[in-house]
Amino acid sequence: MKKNYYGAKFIITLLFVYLILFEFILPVNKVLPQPSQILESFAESWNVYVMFQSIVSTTSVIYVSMLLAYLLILGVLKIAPTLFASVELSSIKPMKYIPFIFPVLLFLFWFGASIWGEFFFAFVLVSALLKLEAANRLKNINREYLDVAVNLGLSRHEAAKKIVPKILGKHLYHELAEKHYLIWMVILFYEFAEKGNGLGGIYYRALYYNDFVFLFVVTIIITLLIWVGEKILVVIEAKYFNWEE
Amino acid sequence: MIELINVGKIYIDEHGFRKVLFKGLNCELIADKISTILAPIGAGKSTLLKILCRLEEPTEGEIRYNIPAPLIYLPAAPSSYPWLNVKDNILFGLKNYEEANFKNAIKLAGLEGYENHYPDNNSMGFRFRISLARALMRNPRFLLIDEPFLKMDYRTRSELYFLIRRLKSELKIGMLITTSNISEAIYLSDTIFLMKKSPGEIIKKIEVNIQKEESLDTFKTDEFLELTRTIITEFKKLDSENQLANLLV
Repeated sequence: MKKNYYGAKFIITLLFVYLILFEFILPVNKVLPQPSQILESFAESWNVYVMFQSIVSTTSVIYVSMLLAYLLILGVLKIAPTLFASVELSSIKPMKYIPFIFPVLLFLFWFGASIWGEFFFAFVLVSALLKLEAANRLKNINREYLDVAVNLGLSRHEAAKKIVPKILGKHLYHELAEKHYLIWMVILFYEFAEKGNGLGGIYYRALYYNDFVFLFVVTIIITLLIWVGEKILVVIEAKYFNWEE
Repeated sequence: MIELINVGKIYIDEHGFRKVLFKGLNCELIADKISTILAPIGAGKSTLLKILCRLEEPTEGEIRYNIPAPLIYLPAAPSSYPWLNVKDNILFGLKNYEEANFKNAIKLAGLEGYENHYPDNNSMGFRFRISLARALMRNPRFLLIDEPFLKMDYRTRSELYFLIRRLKSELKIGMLITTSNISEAIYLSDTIFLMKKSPGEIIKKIEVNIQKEESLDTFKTDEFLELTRTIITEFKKLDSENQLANLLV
């Protein structure tokens, strides 16, 4: 099928309008910075705001915690495939109304401004998301898969150990890809509140120094990182989890 | 032979009410013949098959097996594993196997050349063939097949009708097939058990003595149409009895 590239065309049009309007027609204004200022600031950012270190710090926290949490939940499912089936989802439903700022602040109180505290928070967050997804999906596993395995001579436990991690592995990965943006936002907020590490910390410093232009620079960098991250997750999903039930 | 003696199943539904799914089922399933349970949806056909292959327990009655194991169960929903290719699906759960047996199974199921393909949910006929080949790898003497041809187009369905009849005559495998399709039941079976629902009970046993060719013309023969009419009449009689019973209540 022929791609229409509507999204790309829309972005290019917006950039063109922005360039013309704020570079040539309204170079001095209090709405948006001049495009040339953004470019200059982008070059400076690598030294002034230790950009490279921040990118490495934030992406490591997000993707390493995602990987470890995924492997942990999958490992648990391989040993005890029905363990999460006992999670009563309705009993923890009210927890979804708790503002996510609360656990962020709680972790900051417990661990202070440290990369390990941030990593532990990200790991707990992703593990909790995956555990809930596992509990939800376990209730909807096609019973025929298990029945047939038992009929073919496997015990119930053996059948579950062979089948449940396979099916849930795909769904958990999909959940990770779906919640990718949310995880980014929570971690950026954690770093912002922490006033220290990572790209969220850069937001805090840019705001503190009233560096209006730099808010745009860091936003562009983060947008690109999220976009690339999402594309990589989608490619991996298409390669390793391309079967449909 | 498998003999069912007063088999019944009672369960508690989601509202806590006691429901009789079926009761007093008495029938004999002959080892090298195809028997069909022809019943409306909800009569407990799938549960009965699960009981026969010991995935579930009956709440009353007894089943006597005078047939060598294994009894292989083919459920109505696709049961081939979509993350495994055809070969791995067929060999699933087997610790060792003979290559000749594997080749024979895929040949009989019509899957030659598809060993490395993956099952696609849209192709129900393909997935049924995989389940069938997986069953044949175990050298079964009896197959329990639950509503196999739902969601299949007419062409796929007729190809599989012929395949099942061929397996029965070449390998002498007995089968119990459940269906709610009258023509399907007549074409496939040597014996049909008509079953009603609420609660499920066998109301009549019909021996099918029709010459069956590997052709759809069999469906148009006078004997075939006559038998179809007889079965419809039996179910209609049951419906009118139910209506009368309702009026009396």
